[in-house]
Amino acid sequence: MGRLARADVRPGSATQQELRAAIEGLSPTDKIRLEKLAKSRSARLGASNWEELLQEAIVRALAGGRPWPKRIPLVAFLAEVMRSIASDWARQSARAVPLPADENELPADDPSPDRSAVARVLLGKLEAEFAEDAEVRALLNGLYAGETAPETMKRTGLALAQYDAARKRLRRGVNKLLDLREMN
Amino acid sequence: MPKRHEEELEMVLAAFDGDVIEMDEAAVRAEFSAADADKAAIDHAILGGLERAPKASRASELGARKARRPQVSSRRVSRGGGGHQEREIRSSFSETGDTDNGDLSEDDNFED
Repeated sequence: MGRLARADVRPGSATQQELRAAIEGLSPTDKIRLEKLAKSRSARLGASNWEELLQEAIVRALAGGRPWPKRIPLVAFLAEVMRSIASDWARQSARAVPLPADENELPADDPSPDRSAVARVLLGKLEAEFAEDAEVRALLNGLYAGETAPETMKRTGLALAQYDAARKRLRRGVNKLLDLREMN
Repeated sequence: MPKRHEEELEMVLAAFDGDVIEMDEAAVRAEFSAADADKAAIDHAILGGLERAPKASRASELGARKARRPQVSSRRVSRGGGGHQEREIRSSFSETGDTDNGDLSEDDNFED
């Protein structure tokens, strides 16, 4: 082991062999978590190939550029790798957008139109799904405003059990939306 | 206005992601039982990643290159919804010098 070989093993971080073994030993439940996280991350991009994102995350994680701190659950670590890759892909996609024909016109400081359109459609479907559910709509408004759970409960008067139940309904709605997206 | 939609979607999906990571196993199985097609796709993606990953010696060299890079990090942590572990892992990534914009793209291009 030379200097280069030692440099990527930080205290508390897994070696590549440990990471590989952990990935090979993922439980069925954790695989489901990764599928949901990959679909969620792909949806933000307006992309549908969540498998490619998950595969790339495993490749990059095992390449050693991002040490896995073993105190962090593996799924959370891979979720963060996927987030980073998706951010990279989004940047590349934004660079591919042609510049305005008029050189005096500044490029819009907005995200690419496709991603905005995707976000509008997804949010529209979600809000339509919960149009009659006042508790979930209150929760959505809290999320949009960046509220914490206690802040939302205080603002809306929801009890913890009501909040948790509404959050569960919202979670199922988001999951259904992400699965439907994949099928379309 | 278009940016608002993206930000709102991000808030909702960040909350979803945080829940998916933090839910206990029984709740995941109850709420998200994967279809057979999805199970096959997940296994295919994982196996594909394991097969494509560089060998240990190559990974070590790349890891060392990353460790020598300047530490640049500024990260916006979502205000709402995201789970505790998500915030912790983001903090952990900041410690490694990884940045929010996926700045490892050059080093991460491992295809020879």
